[in-house]
Amino acid sequence: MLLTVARKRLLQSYLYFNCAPLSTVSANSMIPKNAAQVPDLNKIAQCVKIYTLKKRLRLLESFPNRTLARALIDKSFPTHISNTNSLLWPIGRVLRDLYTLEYIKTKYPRLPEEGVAVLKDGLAGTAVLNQLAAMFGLETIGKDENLVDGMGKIIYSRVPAESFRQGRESYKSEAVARTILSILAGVYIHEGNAAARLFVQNFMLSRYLPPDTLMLFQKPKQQLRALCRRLGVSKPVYYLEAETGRKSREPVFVVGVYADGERIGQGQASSLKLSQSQAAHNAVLSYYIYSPSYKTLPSETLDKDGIAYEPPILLPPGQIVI
Amino acid sequence: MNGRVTSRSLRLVRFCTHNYGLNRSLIYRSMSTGDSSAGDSITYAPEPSQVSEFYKKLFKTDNYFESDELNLQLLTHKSFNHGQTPYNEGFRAIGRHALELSLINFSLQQTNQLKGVSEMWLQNACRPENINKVAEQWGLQQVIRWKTPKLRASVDTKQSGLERVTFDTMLAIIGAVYMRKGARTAVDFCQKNLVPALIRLLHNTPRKQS
Repeated sequence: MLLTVARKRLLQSYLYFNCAPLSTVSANSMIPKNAAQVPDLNKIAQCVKIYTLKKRLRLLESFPNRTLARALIDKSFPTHISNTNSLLWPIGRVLRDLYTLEYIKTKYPRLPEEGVAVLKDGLAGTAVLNQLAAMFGLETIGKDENLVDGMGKIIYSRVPAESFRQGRESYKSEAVARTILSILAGVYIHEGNAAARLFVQNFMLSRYLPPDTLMLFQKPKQQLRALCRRLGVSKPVYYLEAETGRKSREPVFVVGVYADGERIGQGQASSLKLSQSQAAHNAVLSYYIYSPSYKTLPSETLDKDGIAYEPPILLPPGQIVI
Repeated sequence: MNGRVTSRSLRLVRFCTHNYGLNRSLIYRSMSTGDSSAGDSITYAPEPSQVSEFYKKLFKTDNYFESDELNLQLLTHKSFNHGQTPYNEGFRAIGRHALELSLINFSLQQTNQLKGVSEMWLQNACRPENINKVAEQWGLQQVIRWKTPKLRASVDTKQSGLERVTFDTMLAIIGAVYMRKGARTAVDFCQKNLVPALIRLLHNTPRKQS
């Protein structure tokens, strides 16, 4: 019997998935077209995309394919909780937050909390995880794509256009981020703490993001004054070090700020006041982004028994409050 | 008035013109009460002996942390002395995640068919109410150095900020154990002292629908 391609696909979907055919066409547009199909994790775990993903990520042979398959089905997809990554991604989120934060706090102990938050987002935030997914070769399922074609892709649900005030809201970026976090959770569960930390270090913490580009201080001269007072250093003094073009359209003033006879910052701007502020800003910034050398991170003690941890000598007292 | 017309000076002028027949002292009195309806702020600070007693009771040993300055810093909130004294904000976030990790380890140790942790369970377990109940058992609220906002006469502890400050300080202590002693010590500490109490509180209190 000759079958059209579409009917063949439909029959295949019955075979691969425990699919109850939709007898009544749902007038409710909230349920996506592939919602009635339940993803069969065992079948997905055997597919080629999962196998190649596992090899690409250099996961151990003992890492179960079923966990990887489960990680790819987002919690937003309307199916049973045992088929989705809704119980995996919180583990990945906590690990990601923990390893990233301890790295930032160890590497930049004096960084203000706002800077820490921005740096954490820039190293391991949702946008980064989406880029990582592209790097891993993870695809997302198409708009009305069949679950057969979607095997080995990230399966998530879309919100219909009429349902929210903001219009068409897609879970895609969050779903992709959750997939990466679920893979990280799988690594923690099946390969241990060391492998999970290595995963985060290799893919997220190895990014180049210098912290001095991330912060802009309000009232820099006031902050510097407070900082000098706190450190027991003399009041900061501003000296004009170089200038050119005064009275012209584009003057340049280079001002250095000195405390206890040493220059602690230098700034350049087109007005005298502004260059003083710039100098103060640079001085405060150089205090905050100080990065001491460190031997071990705190989470290395979780790898195995008997690892000694040497805490850093520097104890940050907290950022300046004005 | 020095040439700048502020709303307060405008109000004064309005009062004088519209309430011409009233007693002048009444007008000024009503003006002053209108401005300072908020009361004063209270600064709380423990005695040094209370601090050392608290740490001895908690960690069962003297000098758990390497310095007295760190001991004091961990119990100092950012509101104390307007952040001029070293405060505990830097340890808070790490402490939160270390606690979440110990809860995750606890959950993974349960022999479930489906391995994993639900986000709602995690958030409910780390709720400020539950953590503050454990803090009360430790006697933490008496040893924190903090300052309330300007308060009116009758105000509950939530408005005064005690809940928030206790929560922050609890997490900061865990964070300090993590950063100064290592992750294993912190997770063991949470496992021993916090996780059983939090799980018990989680089962007893009604679930918060997020």
